[in-house]
Amino acid sequence: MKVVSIYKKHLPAMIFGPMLKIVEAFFDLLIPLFMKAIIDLQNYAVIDDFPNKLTGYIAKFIRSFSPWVSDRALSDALIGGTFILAMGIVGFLITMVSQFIAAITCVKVGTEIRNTAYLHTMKLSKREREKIGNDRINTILNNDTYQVQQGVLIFVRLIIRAPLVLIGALVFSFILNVSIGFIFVMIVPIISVIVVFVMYRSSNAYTRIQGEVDNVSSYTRDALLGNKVIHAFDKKEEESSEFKKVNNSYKYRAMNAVRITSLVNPLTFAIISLAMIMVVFFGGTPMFDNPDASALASTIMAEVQYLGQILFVVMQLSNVVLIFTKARVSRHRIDSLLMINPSIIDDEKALTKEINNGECLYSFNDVSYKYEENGNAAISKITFDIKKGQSIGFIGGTGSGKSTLISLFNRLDDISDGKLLYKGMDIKEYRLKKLRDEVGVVSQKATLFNGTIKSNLQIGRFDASEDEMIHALTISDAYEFVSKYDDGINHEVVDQGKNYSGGQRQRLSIARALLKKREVIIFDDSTSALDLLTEKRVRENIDKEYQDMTKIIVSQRISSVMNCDEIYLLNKGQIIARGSHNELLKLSPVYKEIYESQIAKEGASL
Amino acid sequence: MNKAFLKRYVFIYKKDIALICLFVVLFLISQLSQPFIIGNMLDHALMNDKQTFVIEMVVLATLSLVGVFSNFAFEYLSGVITQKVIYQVREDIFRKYNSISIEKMNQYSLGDLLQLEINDMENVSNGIFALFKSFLEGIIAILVTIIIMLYINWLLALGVILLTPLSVIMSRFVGKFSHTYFKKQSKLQAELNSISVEAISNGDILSSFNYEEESIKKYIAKDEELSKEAKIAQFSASWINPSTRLVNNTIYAIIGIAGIIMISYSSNNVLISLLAIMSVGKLSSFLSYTSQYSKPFNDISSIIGEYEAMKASIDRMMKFLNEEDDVDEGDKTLNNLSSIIFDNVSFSYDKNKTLIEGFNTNISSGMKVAIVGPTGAGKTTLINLLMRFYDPDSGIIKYNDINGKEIKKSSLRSNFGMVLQETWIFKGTILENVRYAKRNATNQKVIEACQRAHLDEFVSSLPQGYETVISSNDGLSEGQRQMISIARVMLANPSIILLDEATSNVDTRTEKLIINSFDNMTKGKTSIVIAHRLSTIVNADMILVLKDGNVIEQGNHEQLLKKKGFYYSMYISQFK
Repeated sequence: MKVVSIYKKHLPAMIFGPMLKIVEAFFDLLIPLFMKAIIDLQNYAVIDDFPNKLTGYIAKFIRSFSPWVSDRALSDALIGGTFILAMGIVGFLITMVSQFIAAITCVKVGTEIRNTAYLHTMKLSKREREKIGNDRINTILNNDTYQVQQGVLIFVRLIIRAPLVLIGALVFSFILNVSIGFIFVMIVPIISVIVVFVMYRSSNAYTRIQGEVDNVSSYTRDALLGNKVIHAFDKKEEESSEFKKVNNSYKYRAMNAVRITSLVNPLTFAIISLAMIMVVFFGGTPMFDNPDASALASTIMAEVQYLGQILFVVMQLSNVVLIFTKARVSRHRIDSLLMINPSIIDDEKALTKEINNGECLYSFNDVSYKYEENGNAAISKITFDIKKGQSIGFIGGTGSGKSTLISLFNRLDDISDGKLLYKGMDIKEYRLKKLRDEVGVVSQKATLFNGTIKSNLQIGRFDASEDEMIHALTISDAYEFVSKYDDGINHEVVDQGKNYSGGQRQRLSIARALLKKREVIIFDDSTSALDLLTEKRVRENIDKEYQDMTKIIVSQRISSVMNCDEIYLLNKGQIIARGSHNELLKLSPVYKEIYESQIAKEGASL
Repeated sequence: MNKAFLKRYVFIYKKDIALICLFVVLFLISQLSQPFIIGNMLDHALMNDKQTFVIEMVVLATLSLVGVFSNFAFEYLSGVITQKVIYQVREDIFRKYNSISIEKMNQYSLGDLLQLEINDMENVSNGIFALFKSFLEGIIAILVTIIIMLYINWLLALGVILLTPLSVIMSRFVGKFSHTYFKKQSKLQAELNSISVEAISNGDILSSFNYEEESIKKYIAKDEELSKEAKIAQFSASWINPSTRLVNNTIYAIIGIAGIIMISYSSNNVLISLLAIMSVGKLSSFLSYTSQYSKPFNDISSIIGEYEAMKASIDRMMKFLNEEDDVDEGDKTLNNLSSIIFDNVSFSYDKNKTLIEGFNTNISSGMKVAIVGPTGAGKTTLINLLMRFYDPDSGIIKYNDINGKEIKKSSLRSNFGMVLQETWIFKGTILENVRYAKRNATNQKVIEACQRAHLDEFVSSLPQGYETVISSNDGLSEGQRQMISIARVMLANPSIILLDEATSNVDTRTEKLIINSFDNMTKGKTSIVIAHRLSTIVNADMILVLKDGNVIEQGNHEQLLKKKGFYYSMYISQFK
């Protein structure tokens, strides 16, 4: 699915909408001619004496209506004036239909693209999303779809109207006066070049200014965040003089931009003036000693009107080009997102299976994982089994591969090498939805979503009843503080849960994972912000309530894993020791060292 | 508008502003006299007056040149002055950030402070420029046009003056109408955005819970809502151009027809020729004025929003700039700080809630002091008082037996090496970030400090090593950021070390190594440590157990364990 295919769905509107504009454009072009015809009607007794045939036809048309008042000239003026008004009104009405089509179509296209892009994003794995960048995806969803939408809007509104008015004005000016027509034809490219040049230069200048603004912003931000440190190291003066440099560089760029943008209006003015002077000169000189002088004068009036229309349309067109360019760039960006094929997908034909306690739940056989094809392995050749009902601990420092390992358990990532079995089947052949229903993960970050406690728990299971929620909250020791709110589980969650402490967030996210009946639950450092007494309480609650459930505990804290059936010590993507707590204390000096760094020596004897 | 602001930042460019006014007037006279001259030229051509025609041609050309030059001059000068004003205000605000007390700074949110330098500055820059350009230009343009029109034909002039505002009113009305829908649209857009931002940055959680479909449903529902408003917004905005065109065409027709009728009759009707003389040339210039006349009105009405925004921004800026500077009443200098006495110190951030009350303690030279206690007990507040970021409400803190208030703040602070739980990294290389503590330190010294902070293993894994550029919001882990802050203090080698949860995110093995380095460095020096992990403080000379702003227990590890009080229960919980 590409953006173009969404355009295609709206093809009729995108053809019909612009066509409607032809009427108004044509009327706009006729008005100056009508005005000239009316003036000429005042000056010539016989229409056939008109030096210009086209105005003659219009004059005849006006005359074809029987006079409204006895005075012929007055009647001509009134009838002509009425037609000018009528054309304005009819043109306006038809145009509004086109404007309506434009508004509806562009919003529809924008909405469809946004929905398609979001749907697609949700199918991508974390790794695939990170390749484009989360910020970029959000820009695509918000900004780029809007740019495309504006492109469609302008397309319907102007794609026919603007060129038609431009060409029409040129043609009519030729018909009225050939030399003035030539002047206009010459002027159009000159204006276009100047407008494009200035637009290009000034948009460049603005991009550079934006870069400088970003510098000022990031420097200021740094200085504000480091306020205390700046005071502590007594760096006030240094900071101010450093900022002066940033500020100076901004000023330099801004002044450059001022020089360029100050040219726009004077240049435009110069060209308009030049055109005017030429119109009056070439239109005016033939008037001397000419019986048709008055018709030439009314021609100049009409030509001045056409000049105005031409200038307006050229400006409009340069804007159109700018909007289309932006829309095209945005369209490519959206396409680049839509073209990524999601790799971790749910195969509808995949199977599910039930197993008994004691059977092998997970079996890792020489499993390796690499973030990039030729990069270093984040996990290399890991082999272990987890039996249903066991509690397993993984311990290791930063960079030991813990988080990577966790992402393999519920297929947030697929392994690069080796064999990973779930319930005795290749994990890729197991229904993905079922797998993720069975495997609960409580992550360290304990991110909550804006809404309420209830809406967050519903992420765990959409149809959970309030009693079930309270039960889960009780087990995770969260009900203790939730019950204190007047609105209980309807208490608000704002700013990704920043209105709760780290420990509270962790307990809420444990409850979230407990709501569904799980085969296995993985705690990824998910009690790090709890004090030791609370952590113990939560652990005991879970052990009691979910005896059959397999538990995988990943942590930096020895106290979190020391009660597990089996503990694996990870280092640089490999398992360097395994066994129970007591075995490891004897076997592994590294494990012992970690233990001692966390629990003081005298503690062991207490 | 804020007079103090104008006086301080704008009126200092009196000469330039006078020049701007002069150039604006010049420009407008040359621009607006064009249709008038052209009209006259037509009339003179009709009258076969070649000589006048040629003279007028020359005048027209000359005025055009004057117009081009004066137009550039006034736009350029307006831009330059705007930038000069911005430059000065920006610098003053930045200076203010560091010259008012931390206490005052904390009354503002980071976003508000940042806004002063970025968004508010943008508003002021747009506002001043618009004021010079659209407002000044617009008002003068309206005046000049009215005068010329009245001079040519007062009757038609009245018609134009009365009719033209119609188009302004029209576009203003449509603009206002669509504005309300655009506001709704952008509100919904923001809501939609927050759904996707939240979902995408936490995609893993959504996947883990099989919650993608719900999220998509939610997104599409919100998008439908947005789509509905957006359609109305886009359609209502699309009235502006056609409807102003309609109004302008109508005015054009009315004035044109009325003018034509006047021309026909001014030759044979005494009354009309007495009222107002009309000719083809005059009508031509009139029609030009008619189409130009509405522009300045639209310009002025469109800058009202910008002006309001600027006014609000300037008020915010001036309020901040008028904040009092931090007073430093002390004049004594302090070297080799070693002993600190808290004498009956009380303090609270919020006068309704007492935090620390009657706090006494005596930290003597060479002591290793640890402060423990639950969150909110006032641990970090003690550091704020110690560094004199805040002053006590009552009581005295003595440094080497000198009252803190008598010591120059910068001199006092130079004795401390502080590492806070919240780290601070600025955009720059790792080397620059560490060297911040001691600007003149050699690379060798900086790297040594990094080694003692056990940062070198991480740094050596980076392709650019110590020259890697880091910033506050890129991939460094919290632990790595803490290690950089620690390296800074290692480099500064201060008299007293102050650690507030400084290693809370460093893994426990590395933490132990870092503590060893600290112990080496602080041998014989005083140090104050706040920590969560009790294992790091068991060998402190004195442990202060803080709860609700008071010291509830005090002593060394063994003494406190024997007490079997709060400390004991905290300590023992890690083994169960």
